[in-house]
Amino acid sequence: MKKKGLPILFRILLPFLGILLLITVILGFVFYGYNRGFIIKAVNEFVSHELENTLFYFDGNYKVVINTNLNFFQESYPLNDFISAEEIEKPIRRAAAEKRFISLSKINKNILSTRFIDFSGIEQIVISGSRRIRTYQSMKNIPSGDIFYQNAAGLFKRLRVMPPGTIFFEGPFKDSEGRTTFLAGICKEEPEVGGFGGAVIIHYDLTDFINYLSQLRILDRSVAWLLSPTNDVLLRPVSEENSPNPVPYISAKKSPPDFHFYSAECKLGTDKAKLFTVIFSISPKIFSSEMYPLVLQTFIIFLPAFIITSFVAFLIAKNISAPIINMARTVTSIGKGDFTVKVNTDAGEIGTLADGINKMSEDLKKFSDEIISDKDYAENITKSMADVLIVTDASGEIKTVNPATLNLLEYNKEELLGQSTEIIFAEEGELLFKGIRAEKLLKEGPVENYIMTLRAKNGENIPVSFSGSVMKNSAGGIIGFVCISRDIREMLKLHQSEKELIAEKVRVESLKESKKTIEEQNRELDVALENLKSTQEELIASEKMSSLGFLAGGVAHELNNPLTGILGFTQLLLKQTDETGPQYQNLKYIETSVLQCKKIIGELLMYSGNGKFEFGPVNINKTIESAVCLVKHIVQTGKIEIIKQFSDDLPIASGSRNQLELVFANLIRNAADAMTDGGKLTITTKSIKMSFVEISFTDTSAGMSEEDIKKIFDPFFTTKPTGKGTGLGLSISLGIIKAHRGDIKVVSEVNKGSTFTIILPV
Amino acid sequence: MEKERSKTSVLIVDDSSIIRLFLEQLFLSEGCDVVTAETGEEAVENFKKRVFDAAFIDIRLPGMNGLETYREMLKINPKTKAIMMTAYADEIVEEAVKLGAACCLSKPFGIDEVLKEFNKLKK
Repeated sequence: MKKKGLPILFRILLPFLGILLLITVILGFVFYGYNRGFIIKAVNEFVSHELENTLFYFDGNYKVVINTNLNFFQESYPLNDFISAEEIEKPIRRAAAEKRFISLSKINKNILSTRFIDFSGIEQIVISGSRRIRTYQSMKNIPSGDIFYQNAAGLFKRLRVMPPGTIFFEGPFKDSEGRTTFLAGICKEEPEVGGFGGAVIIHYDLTDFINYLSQLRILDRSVAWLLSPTNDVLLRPVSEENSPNPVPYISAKKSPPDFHFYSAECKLGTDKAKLFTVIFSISPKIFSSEMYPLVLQTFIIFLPAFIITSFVAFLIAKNISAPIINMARTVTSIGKGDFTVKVNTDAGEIGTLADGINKMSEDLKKFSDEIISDKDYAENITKSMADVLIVTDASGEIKTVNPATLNLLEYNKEELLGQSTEIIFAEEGELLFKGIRAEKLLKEGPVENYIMTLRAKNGENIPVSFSGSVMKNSAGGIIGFVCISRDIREMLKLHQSEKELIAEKVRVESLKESKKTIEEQNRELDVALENLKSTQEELIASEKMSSLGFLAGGVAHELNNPLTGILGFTQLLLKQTDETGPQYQNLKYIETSVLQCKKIIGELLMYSGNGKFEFGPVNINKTIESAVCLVKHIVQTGKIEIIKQFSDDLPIASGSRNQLELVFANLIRNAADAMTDGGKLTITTKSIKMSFVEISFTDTSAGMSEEDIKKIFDPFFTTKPTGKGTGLGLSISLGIIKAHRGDIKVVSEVNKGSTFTIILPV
Repeated sequence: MEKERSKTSVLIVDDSSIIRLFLEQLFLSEGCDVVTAETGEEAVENFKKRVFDAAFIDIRLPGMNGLETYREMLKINPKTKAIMMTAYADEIVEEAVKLGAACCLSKPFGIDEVLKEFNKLKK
């Protein structure tokens, strides 16, 4: 599975390219901005320069000329003479002055007319071109609508109140012939008396200057505007597209938003009045078009630079990523199991990494080989196992089965893998993961040799010996259960009775599952099995005893008839014999002997149980009670105190109740016989580990010597007076107890008492 | 006849000749009229011929046993009084007692025991 993501080459290359692009763009902008500023500055300087030139042109062609002209008249003697001349002399003086005026007009082609107006406001001298005009027009009474005289009268009015030498201008204005013109005048002093002597006013033509402006080209375009002091447009460029109208901005005293204008004012005269304003108004389009080559140039410089550096970056990135890509390929190969691939080692960190990968690859190969061989080994073991091996995960889902499992249960591997163990555990109670078994496995550790049933695919129930344990990971978490089961059918065929027992055990277990823990039941059933085995042994033993009893019974019966004869006839003879006679005592001896025989046979018959031995459950405490009752009339109850110390939880023993009763009665009677002067008999019962019952008879008799103790179980050995004991009681008692697979032990001390202890298996 | 009537008649059934001889002598000495039988069948034949005051019957007999013999006797004379004899403490003794037998004499027994039981029976 491959994760989504960029290859290492692009991971390196893309940031490189990003940074390069950024640097290129920044440099481009810096280059552009710097050059743009430079261009704008150059343009500004160029335009300012042009403007200066324009003013220079005006100064050269008009301003200097005007001052020279006017000052010429200030110092002009012919004019002074005319002013101060008597009335009579005036025509002559006028003619002289007119000559001066004409000569000036001839010199300067921009002068349209020159005139002198006397102090009273009447034209005295007027020269237009080289013509003399003698209309003597008064400034006070000018023809209406004549724009020239309106301006001239205005100028005269202003000059009249000024000191001599004051120079004023008026205009510009369009004259009657449509030319743009203006007036310049100087205040003339009365040469003799001083004071206002009149004014010289020259009419100048601005057409020359306007032509100059209209032909002027800034950035190859006509951009010059000429405005009067009242902001009347005297000249406008050919196209306003290239040069927006600056008038609205000038009158509103605002800066233009998107276009440039450069202005210069022309001031003349003593009052430095503004004659006109020259403006170069330049549209932003012109600037943009100027910038276009710059943009192109910037692209031409930086685009190839970007491409070249990108290529270099690509090479660098490829060089850097190559070992990593190589390593990645190698790791992929290793991942696919090809451990032969090696990474070319290099110097530096990448080299260390490559060495690490090579080392890792070798180690992996080694471990992989080991794992494969371990796995083969483990698989061989599971395959070779004759027993059923089932491994489940923690939830009870089957993960592994061996061929023995498939053979036994007749399933295919695919039918079992991933299934719950329910399908192979035969009984509901056996469910490993539903019932308490799994909990038990967890809490109490492995289960061993537990007998249970598996169900084959065909429904056959197969008894098995089951062992299970919990599989844990290193952290202690449960990862599954390992279950091994051995088919025990063959074993069961060999041991039919054991099979029945196991079946019984399985059945009882399943019934009592909820009440008791499995161990207890197992143990109980084991005990039951043991008991049954011992019962079998007991039966064999009792069979022996039975035969012996039968024999004894038969012998006794056969002896009883002749003994009856002996006793009967002896007594008949005794009846017929004189007691003092010599034969009487002899007959008595015979009678006594016969009675002794009768007693022996009686005991033999009693202990032989007439050949009847029936084993069954025996409550030992109750049996002792009835034994005490049996001998109550024999034991001198007044003298002998019987103390019973019975255990309450004595297990039920198995045996012949009658026989055991006789044994107990015999021991009680023996104790009573041993304590002729009275005493205490303590009868104690207790359980030894719930598998044996111990019954003790402790008396306070005189006790026995060690020699006697050795002999007391011998048949016909007795310490009792002749005729009272037969010497068979203890002998036969021991036989009976041995037949019960028990034992009798005697502890006795002289003058302290004796203890007879019977041990019986449960 | 009267003399015979006054005599107590006893039937003794036992396969052991020594027992038969002993009891016969004993009861003869006691003045009784004694008849002996070796088997149950013989005893029943005798029982059919005449009436007995008492019967001493051994439990274990060849052929018909003591209990069966006693049952047959009861069929003939329901008032038959019997004393069973045995060398064992047999269970069938108890059955016989249930049927009406006086008691059981355990062999070997002496004169005193026999007469004690016999006298109890006569009363």
